[in-house]
Amino acid sequence: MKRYLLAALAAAALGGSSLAQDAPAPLPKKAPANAAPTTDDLKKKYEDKLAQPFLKLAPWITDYDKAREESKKSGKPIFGYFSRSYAY
Amino acid sequence: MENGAFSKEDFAKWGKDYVLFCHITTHIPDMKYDNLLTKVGGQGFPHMVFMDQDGEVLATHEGAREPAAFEKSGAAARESAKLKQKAAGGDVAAKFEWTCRQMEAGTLAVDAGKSKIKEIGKLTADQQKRFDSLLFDAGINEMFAGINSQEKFTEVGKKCLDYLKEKKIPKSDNAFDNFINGCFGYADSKKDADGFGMSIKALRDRKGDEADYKPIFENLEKHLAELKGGGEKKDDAPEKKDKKDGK
Repeated sequence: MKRYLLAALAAAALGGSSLAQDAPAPLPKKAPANAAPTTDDLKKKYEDKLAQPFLKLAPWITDYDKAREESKKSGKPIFGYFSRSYAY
Repeated sequence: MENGAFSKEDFAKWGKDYVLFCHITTHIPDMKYDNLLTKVGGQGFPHMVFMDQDGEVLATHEGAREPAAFEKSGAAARESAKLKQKAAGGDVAAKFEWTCRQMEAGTLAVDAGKSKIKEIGKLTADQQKRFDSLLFDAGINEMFAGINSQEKFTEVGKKCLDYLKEKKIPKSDNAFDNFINGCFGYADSKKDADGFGMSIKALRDRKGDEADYKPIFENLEKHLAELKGGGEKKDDAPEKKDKKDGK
């Protein structure tokens, strides 16, 4: 929550004030206008994310359709972890 | 977390009872399910949920990021799955509880929640109180989801500060985060020291005991002092601005 709050504070009208110090990257919909990577940049970042070691240490599925299919087949609930690749 | 909890052996062991799904928001145009985060009630990263085979959220994980804590949320998810089943079978109490849980997870909009409750019929006083509180929180989140301009942010921030003055404060963490963000943003934009001070108090009531928040409160108090002093930081003083502009 603290991370979110800091991000929100930094991204809101308070940007540039003393409150924004040490704040992490703002939330996606409030990203600065000059942060406009190309589609190729985004694809590269996505590939880099998929190559992260943690995804090899457990049987993670990164395809939503496949995850639901596997849940239907196995009867196991899905643990969904939501992350992003467009910003590190 | 990716290099911490998820990279440990005990996580892989715990994960054997679940389908482990990692969703990555990419912002790549036309990427399938790229906005799935918002559909499962997420407002930031990381976000963790337990879902059933249809992708319906059964529980949202908050708190510690380690297998024992995940399992606690997993148990709540299994309970929700049973509840969902009972609700589908016509059990009125289960219908109410399942609706509340969907609203808590942020997967049921205000209007949809109202419709579901209408189907249930008359609520007890306690049920009505709980549902009203959930509606308020969901309403706050919906207002923030609709922000697409600074003007809209100002309008929403004003509403939040008005609610705060009426002592109407969201209970859920998600809604509170949005709410307090709106209060601070609006009070700051209007140089409203009283509103800003009230916002600090509300945040302190909620998070004042957490050591990690100490530097945040220091910054907030510092900014409050600036607002009380006329709303200008030293760096923004006219003579300095002139120098920067080369005047």
